[in-house]
Amino acid sequence: MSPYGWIDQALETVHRADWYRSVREIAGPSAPWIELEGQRLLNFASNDYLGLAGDPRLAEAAITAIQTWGTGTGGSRLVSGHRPIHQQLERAIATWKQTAAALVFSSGYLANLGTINALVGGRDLILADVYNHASLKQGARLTGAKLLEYRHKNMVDLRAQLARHRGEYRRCLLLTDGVFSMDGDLCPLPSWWALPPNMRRCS
Amino acid sequence: MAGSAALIDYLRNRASSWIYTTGLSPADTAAALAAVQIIEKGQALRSQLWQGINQLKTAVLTEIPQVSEASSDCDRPLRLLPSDAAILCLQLPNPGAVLQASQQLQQQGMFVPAIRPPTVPTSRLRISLMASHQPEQIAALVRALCQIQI
Repeated sequence: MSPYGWIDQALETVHRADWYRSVREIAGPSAPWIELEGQRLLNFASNDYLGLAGDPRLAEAAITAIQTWGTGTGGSRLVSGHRPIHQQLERAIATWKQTAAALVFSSGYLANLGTINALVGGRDLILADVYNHASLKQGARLTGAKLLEYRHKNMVDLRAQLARHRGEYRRCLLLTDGVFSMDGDLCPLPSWWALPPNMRRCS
Repeated sequence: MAGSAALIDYLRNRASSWIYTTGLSPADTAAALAAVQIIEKGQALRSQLWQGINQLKTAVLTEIPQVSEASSDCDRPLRLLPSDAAILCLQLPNPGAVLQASQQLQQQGMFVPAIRPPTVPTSRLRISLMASHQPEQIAALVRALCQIQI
């Protein structure tokens, strides 16, 4: 038997559980009407909530940027990949979010992975909502910190676990989605501000 | 990531997924900047989106006989999960049922994905709205949801 036979078996298990998934091709841009594998459909499967992905103003800005700086940056930001447009975007985000500064990662997933791992390590505690996005879950696992999950949006459970475990660790990161992406419900962030000041928070 | 000057400076020095990856492409960066500029004065877009959300939520609960709210006791096959955003989920009993429902919707011209474990704890249809959806398109979705048979 091939040393990679286990892959076929693993795929078979996925099929049996009705968990198998595959990509499906959409012909045109993100829009309310799409053509999926030749069939015209109304699209209720997009995260382009404000409908900007097909906006001609964004396309025009992207085309101008390609003509000015090319299609790729040719390096990491710290070595040779930093352009004026990065600085402009980071300033715009900071102004919009009313913070002093901002940092643009290459995707939301990478932003969560990188930030969480920069903030906590093996001597620390992470308390995380059980329905958090995969990027927060995976980011938390990679840190090597003690990871405890609290029941979805449950402040009572969160407070109880904080009280029980906080003292054993150096820093503590509370980790939650703002809008939970799978259900569309919100984290009750205002009630977090009522946590005692010695319970460090960061979202 | 938005934050204090010290936090951002620290991340530029300690966040591996930013440090060791090629800078975001000029096209993506410029498109994102144009989007931020539009969003800052985009109240009209947001209110269009919310009109659609409210229309869909009301219609799902009042016009579709198979739907109950997640908190209710009755055993109708579709349960509307709590939501405060442009994502509305209808929970079904198992992965097979949600795949069937999604296929039936597609036969009626509606693309509504089946989201299953391990992505989520329970199988559901996940409907996401865009500001550019028209009221009659949302009404057509509700008519299609009424036709689901499992």
